[in-house]
Amino acid sequence: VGRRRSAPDDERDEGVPAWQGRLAFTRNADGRFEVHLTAPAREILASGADDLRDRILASAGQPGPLFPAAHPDRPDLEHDYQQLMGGDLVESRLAAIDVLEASLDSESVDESQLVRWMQTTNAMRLVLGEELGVSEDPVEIDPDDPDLPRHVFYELLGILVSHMVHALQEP
Amino acid sequence: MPATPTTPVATAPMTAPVEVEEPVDDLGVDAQRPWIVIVWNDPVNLMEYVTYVFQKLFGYSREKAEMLMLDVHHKGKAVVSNGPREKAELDVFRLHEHGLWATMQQD
Repeated sequence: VGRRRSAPDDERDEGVPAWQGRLAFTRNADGRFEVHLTAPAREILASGADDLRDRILASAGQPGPLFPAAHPDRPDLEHDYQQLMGGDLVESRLAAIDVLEASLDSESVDESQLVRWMQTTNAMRLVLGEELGVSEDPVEIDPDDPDLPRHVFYELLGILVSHMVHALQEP
Repeated sequence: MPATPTTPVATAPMTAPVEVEEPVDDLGVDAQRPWIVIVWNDPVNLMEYVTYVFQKLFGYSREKAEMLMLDVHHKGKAVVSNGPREKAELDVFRLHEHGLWATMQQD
């Protein structure tokens, strides 16, 4: 299980890493979640979601971080499982992306929408994490590393997932 | 001296015990044995995220969900649910929806 690079206590918001000085998502009295993301942050998420959709459609549910095997040691059972569930998982992932894109400009979202945002953001992180070959323990990234922007994006996605979890867990 | 029974004792017809075979399908799956769902460690999913998913999907307390997450983290895997094959398949599907590396096998 992965960990983010730890932030000093004075750079954290209520137990989650700092996000522009405030929580990125807060629950309202009516149970909805206010979204405190800047326009550039929303654009980054939109771009990532679009890229994720392309990857899902291109992979057609082939095994990988987004489509793990349920029976890795039993090809016969895995075939049955994929016949039963494989298409549904592809549809579910695409539907989650649709929800995020449709509500990305909203000032607030309901719980089911925020869960879909979280699933999609985490899915982007899974794909990127595998491509970057990340390990469980955070490592310092060389400023000259040509993958630095992708590492920064990976960290950003982790912070967003943390804020989403924090908001959903709060009463 | 033992008392002599005044009424005859009914006796069942004597038959040799027969070994009952469990129903097994074409894939060698024993329909009577339960399945377990296992979540495996990975370097990407965050600790708080995995804990939240266990709470949300299985209704576990924060404490139990964290204990299972730490088992995944430190031991490499944890059994998170069990039951009939159909339930295990649904649990695996929901875990996959959330990006966790889940497999299932007969207990």
